[in-house]
Amino acid sequence: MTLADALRKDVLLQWRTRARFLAVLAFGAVTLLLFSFAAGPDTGALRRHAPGFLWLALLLSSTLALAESFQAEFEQRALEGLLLLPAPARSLFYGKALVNAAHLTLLGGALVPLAVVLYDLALPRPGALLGLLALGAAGLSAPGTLYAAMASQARARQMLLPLLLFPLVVPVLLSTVKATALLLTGDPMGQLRSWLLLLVCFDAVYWSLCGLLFGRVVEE
Amino acid sequence: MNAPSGVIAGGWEYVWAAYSVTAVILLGYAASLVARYRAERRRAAREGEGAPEVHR
Amino acid sequence: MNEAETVTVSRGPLPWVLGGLGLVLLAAGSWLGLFHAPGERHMGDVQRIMYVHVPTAWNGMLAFTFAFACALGVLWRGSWRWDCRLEASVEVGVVLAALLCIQGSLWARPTWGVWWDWDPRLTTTAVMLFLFIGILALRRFVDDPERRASWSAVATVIAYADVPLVYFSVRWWNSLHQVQSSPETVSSAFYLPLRLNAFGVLFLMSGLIALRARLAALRLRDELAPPPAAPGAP
Repeated sequence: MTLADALRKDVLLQWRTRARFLAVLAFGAVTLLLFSFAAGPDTGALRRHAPGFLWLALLLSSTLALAESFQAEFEQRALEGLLLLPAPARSLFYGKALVNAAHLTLLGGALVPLAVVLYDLALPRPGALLGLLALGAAGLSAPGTLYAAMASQARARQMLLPLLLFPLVVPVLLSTVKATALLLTGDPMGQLRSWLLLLVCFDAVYWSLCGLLFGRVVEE
Repeated sequence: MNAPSGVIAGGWEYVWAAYSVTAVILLGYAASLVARYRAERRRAAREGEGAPEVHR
Repeated sequence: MNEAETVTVSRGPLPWVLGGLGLVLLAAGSWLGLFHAPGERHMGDVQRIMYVHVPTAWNGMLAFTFAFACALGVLWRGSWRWDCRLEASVEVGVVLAALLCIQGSLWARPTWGVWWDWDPRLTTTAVMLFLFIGILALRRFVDDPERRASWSAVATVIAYADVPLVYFSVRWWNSLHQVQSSPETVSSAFYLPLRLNAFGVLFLMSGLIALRARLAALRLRDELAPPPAAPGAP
């Protein structure tokens, strides 16, 4: 199975379970609302913290989305069948991780309009924001897919995925929140590039590392 | 005596707290580990295993 | 994993010797640090916390680095011995990291007036603490020993790779808001308590890891042992 086949399989899977996307989106939306309630109706404060709220909502939603992504394989025990094919575990990983990243990017993109409304934001560079969403989603997706594969086969799976993932993605959270804030309110000191560099570094490290190690996670 | 010297005065209670916490945590963990180890040894001896043991 | 390999459990005085030596050195170093070192120029007596804080920091990092090496051992050599050592060094590392955070808090309060000052090294330690607690949880919730070994090794490699990334991101995040200040290390006038404590914690930690690895080996041997024959079986 090549990467293309793995991709096609996972895209099909996602399409067939698209109702779940709406459910996860609803979860993210409610989270954004809860943050507003927690922080109070002061518009200035909400605007300042909006990037943090957006990315936290995305991170929390990702635990649901990622946990779901291996559901089909493990419910039907399809994974064993897949591994019997002369296919490297690597294609399996990258196929799923890419689709998860796209899924999370879409999720983030859908949450942005709600954030604009709730936190009274201006969007001077929507294209750049979408790019940032993609990079951040990639950072969450690579380790998230690997940990989702583990969690779906272990006990206490709902607790395990966030417990493993959340401390790991601190650099993603920091860089995406800072970069979003700079995109929204301007970047007088030219710091955006450095935060993006950090994010790209994280993505590069984990997309290679997780692909390399995935075989050890799904082997029998 | 009137001008502030720029030195943090006192703070001994924090020093004592830090040293005590260090002692309690390190010794406490060591004690719990020894207790767990001995319990496991006793259990293994009771069940009588024949696996080889290495002397170091 | 090497299926044919039996799990051997060491006997012998090594952990006790290391631990005892470590405790003696720690007692000596702490006594010197508390009662004989002069107060530091700006920080006064609070400086004395450094005599336990810095050794704990060095050794905590060492424990996690050793855990990383053990993880590589599991992934490359597939030996149970490395798995036992991995379990031991992660657990001891978690204890040291937790201790470090408490010590850091007790240092920050009299110095900066806050319980947590977002110092990059300390904050990175807090993140590492949670990273490695996650690995302990992972081990707890996986029943198959082989899977447990591979998975926690993978998780350890992933966690360890994160450490520099976390450090730089926190450092930069913090530098935008406050003047960077690292806890002053000990003035060069008085290295002795620091050295004694550093070796003290090192030996104690090594003894603890060795003993904990034995405990892991005992439990593993029990897990891997074939079930006893049922009474009346042919």
